[in-house]
Amino acid sequence: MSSSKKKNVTPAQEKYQKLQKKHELKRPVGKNCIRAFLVGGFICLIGQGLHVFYYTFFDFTQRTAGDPTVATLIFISVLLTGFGMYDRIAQFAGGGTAVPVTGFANSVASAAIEHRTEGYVLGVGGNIFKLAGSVIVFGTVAAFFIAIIKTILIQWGGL
Amino acid sequence: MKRSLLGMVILCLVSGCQNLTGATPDVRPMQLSENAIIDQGQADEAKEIVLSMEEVVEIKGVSDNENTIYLAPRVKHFDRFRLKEIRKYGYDSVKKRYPDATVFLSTDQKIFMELEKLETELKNKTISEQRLQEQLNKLKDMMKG
Repeated sequence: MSSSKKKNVTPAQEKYQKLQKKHELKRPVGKNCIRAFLVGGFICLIGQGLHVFYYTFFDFTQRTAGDPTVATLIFISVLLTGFGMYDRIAQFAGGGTAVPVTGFANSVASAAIEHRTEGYVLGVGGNIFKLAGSVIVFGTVAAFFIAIIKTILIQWGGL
Repeated sequence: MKRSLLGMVILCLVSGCQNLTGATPDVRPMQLSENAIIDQGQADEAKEIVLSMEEVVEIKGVSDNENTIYLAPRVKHFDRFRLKEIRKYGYDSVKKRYPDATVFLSTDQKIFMELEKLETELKNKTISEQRLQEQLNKLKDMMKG
């Protein structure tokens, strides 16, 4: 309950709010964390499996095998998003599906699907980065500032 | 019931790491020397040098006629955090022994696997000199790229 809303409440309302708070279901933070950890870890396990697969059977080294691995994971998650299965996994796992690269692919694909009816240019094109855009913006800005700090440290700090 | 199941899963996850921390005995490198089509004496000695490092548990290596040595050590699990340092140290110690030779040292698993294949082929004499050179050139590109 925000503090601004707490003003102008009658005693009866306050009493009710207290009662409501007592019966409100608590957010299962611990359980959510464990679920996110397990599902996120499972996604990474699949990624590691793909990685090993690519450098064992194809002409990739451990370093270059990362590219096809990420491509495969993105393809799978976009496919699952299209079939509506990714939502169910996300419902169960929460942050576990949002943090790995699959979550990023999901946010792009789901925005594209959602705005398809508004046309390709203003609908899909305009809204495809609705969720992922903030990741790109803040990622770029953060990288810019970190690079400036690093440059200053190396140039003048003599690191 | 649900809680105990969860506990078991966590226990399995935690205990899974135990095997990795145990010290693995050093595997003797394959000594090919003059048995192969191309003399592997240089590679054999380089293998011994790198394997004497504490962090290295296993090593594969092949040398060719052009005075080039290709090495792929397998590093202990927890020492993988210092891979760059280990690579440099290994490279330097081999270079000290063979100052004229071109040394390629990679900790990449793919290079390890390829060199292992080449070693067994050399041992069984199922590879021609030309094919060996081709394969090694391919490995060289991989190590650089």
